[in-house]
Amino acid sequence: MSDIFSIRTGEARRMMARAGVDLLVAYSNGQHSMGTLDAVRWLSGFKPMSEAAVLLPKDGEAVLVVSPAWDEARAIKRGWVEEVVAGNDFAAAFEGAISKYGWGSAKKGLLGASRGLDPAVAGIDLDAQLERLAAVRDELELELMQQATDIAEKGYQHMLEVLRPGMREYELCAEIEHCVRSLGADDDFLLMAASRCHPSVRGAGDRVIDVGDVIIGEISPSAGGQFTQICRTAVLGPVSDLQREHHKLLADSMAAGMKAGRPGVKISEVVEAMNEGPIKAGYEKYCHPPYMRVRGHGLGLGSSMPGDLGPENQTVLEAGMTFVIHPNQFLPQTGYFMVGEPVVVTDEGLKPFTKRIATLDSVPA
Amino acid sequence: MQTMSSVLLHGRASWDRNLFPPDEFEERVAQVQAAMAREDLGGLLVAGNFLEYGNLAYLTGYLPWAGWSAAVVPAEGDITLVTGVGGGRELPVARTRTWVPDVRNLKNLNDALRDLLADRGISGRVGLASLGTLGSRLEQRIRAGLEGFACVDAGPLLARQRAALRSRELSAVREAASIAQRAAEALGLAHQKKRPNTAAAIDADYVARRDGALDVRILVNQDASGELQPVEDQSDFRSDTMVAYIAVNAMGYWADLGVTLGTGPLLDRARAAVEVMVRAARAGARASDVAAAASVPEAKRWGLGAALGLGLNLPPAIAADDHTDLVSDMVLSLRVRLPEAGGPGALATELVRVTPTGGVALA
Repeated sequence: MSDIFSIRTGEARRMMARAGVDLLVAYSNGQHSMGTLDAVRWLSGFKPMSEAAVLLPKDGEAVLVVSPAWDEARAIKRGWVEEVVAGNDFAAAFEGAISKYGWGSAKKGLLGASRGLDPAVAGIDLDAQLERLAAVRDELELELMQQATDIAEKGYQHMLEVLRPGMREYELCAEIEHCVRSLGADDDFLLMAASRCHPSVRGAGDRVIDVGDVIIGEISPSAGGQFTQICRTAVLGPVSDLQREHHKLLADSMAAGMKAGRPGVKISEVVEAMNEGPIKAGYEKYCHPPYMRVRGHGLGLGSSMPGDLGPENQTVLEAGMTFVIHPNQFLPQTGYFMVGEPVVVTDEGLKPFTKRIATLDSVPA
Repeated sequence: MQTMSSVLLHGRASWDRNLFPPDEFEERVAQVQAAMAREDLGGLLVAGNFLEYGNLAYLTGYLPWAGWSAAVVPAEGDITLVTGVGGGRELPVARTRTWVPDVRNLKNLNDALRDLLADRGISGRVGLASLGTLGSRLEQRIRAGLEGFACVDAGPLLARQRAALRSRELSAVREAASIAQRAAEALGLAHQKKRPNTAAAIDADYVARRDGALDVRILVNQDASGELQPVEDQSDFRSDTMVAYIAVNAMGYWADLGVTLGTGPLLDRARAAVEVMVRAARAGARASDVAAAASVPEAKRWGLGAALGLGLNLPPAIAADDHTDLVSDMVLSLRVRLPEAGGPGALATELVRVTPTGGVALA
């Protein structure tokens, strides 16, 4: 058994004891998300293709239920749970496991139930408790986040190397994807687009990239289930003075947020520090939707904490929390720019995982 | 086959106005509104997310790239596309990727949704479809916001409309199949060059995306188990016989392809079983009839196929317990995966259009 799995199951069992439950049912519908809790993967190390559940009793061995049946070999290979029950009919496999181990009358705690677990499986919703429990990242999550960030930075560097006029956006996207997958990413939340003036962020389309285009991208690979995100802006050709000024405004905003963020500080205070520069520069109107969304967000595996970096988020930062900080927004004349780094909260402030902080890059046309 | 989905569709996302001009959607909406009239529905609310968007995209052409979206279809007149709640950052892009002129972001799911329905003259019986794509919490909020309406399940109504693919839809599936074929060729080339199986799969993924895929799902044998698996990391494992499953999404439409690089009696047997299923896939036959024709009980574990279109595994399933009648112009992916002790086995597939006389290869 993996040491990390042992630690996580220990923490989960203490959470179960506090909630007074005998069996933890962690459910996944097989659909994954960059920013939310993935209890099955956090507990088992296994990334399901379809419905799956980890059944963790307060004593004894855990059971991993997976579908389809033929995915059993992968569950054994990738997961930390030794007892695997597989079936093409997930509901039947789940019921079979519950029956086999005599857990039918156990008082249950539920994780991920809102994603489609049969409502007949009654129990106490423990999502909020796990979010809290896993808010401070463990050693494996931090290691994976560093791996993923290294991959993201190489993906961006590759983009700068292959970017040329005449490419279509989706061809450039394919290049980045190929790079990060070749480096070991198991998924990628990749938004990338080219325009003279972006109204907002979007996925790649048909547009033929031209000299003078601004390329914006969120490169967000996952390594071992842990996502990261870097936000970058590059110009194909020379950078204008206004582009440079606006990018600096956002880079300074991010620096202000990184300086403000430390244990004991509320997310809303980090956001306030980030907004101060753009507001002083006369861009307050653009510090709200639809010109931007949030100033960053959690990158989930066990937890989505500390959540979206918005002015109403009163979450207090703790050492070991991770998130992406990104003052991405639209500014008049230059459009939507992206500047963002994945960070971990330390006593000295927010420490980036990246080796190079975002600059406004110019690629010779 | 079951595949691993990504957290985001990050390939070519655009609305091809030449292939799908507005008149295509106007006809679809008119037919759906006629069906609504027959069922005495005052309106439809149709949701979708980036993985399950079939009903939404059929009506709007819009493929949500993150979060959820919904279409409001009145009994008469134009439809409305709702791209979510709050913010609206996505609106400028959404408006370029749908034929629907009225694209909105709602302030909330209570008053704002009710106001929208009232604005479109919707009252009485309202059909709901694909609300499950929103997640149970959001679905419950929307259902609560619809208090006072008589809500009915409109899933079957839309399923009937979508069962037979329209000619332009068939073209989109052919485009996806063409990309899948090129990805398979890249896989074969990498295999010839003695590259590891996972590296070959990543090469195939690249070619598909470079050639315009919106999404790509690849399974390949990559260890001694011989089982097909998604690529989660790189390994040095290479096998002389490589088996892969490639599914490609172009413009929202899926096509798939099984690849067995190698020869032998197992592959011949799989191909023969697929050929029998192709002949059995005629309009009027039942899905279970096609499954029975295959006579390969050991392949049942992986499934024998399903319908394709604006989804990868659409009903009906080619299975003994699915007695759905096949209809002309339904597209079926017919698959036979045969296992092999200590090896990757074989996978044979055929993508067919159902006709009165049997399946006709689409690719």
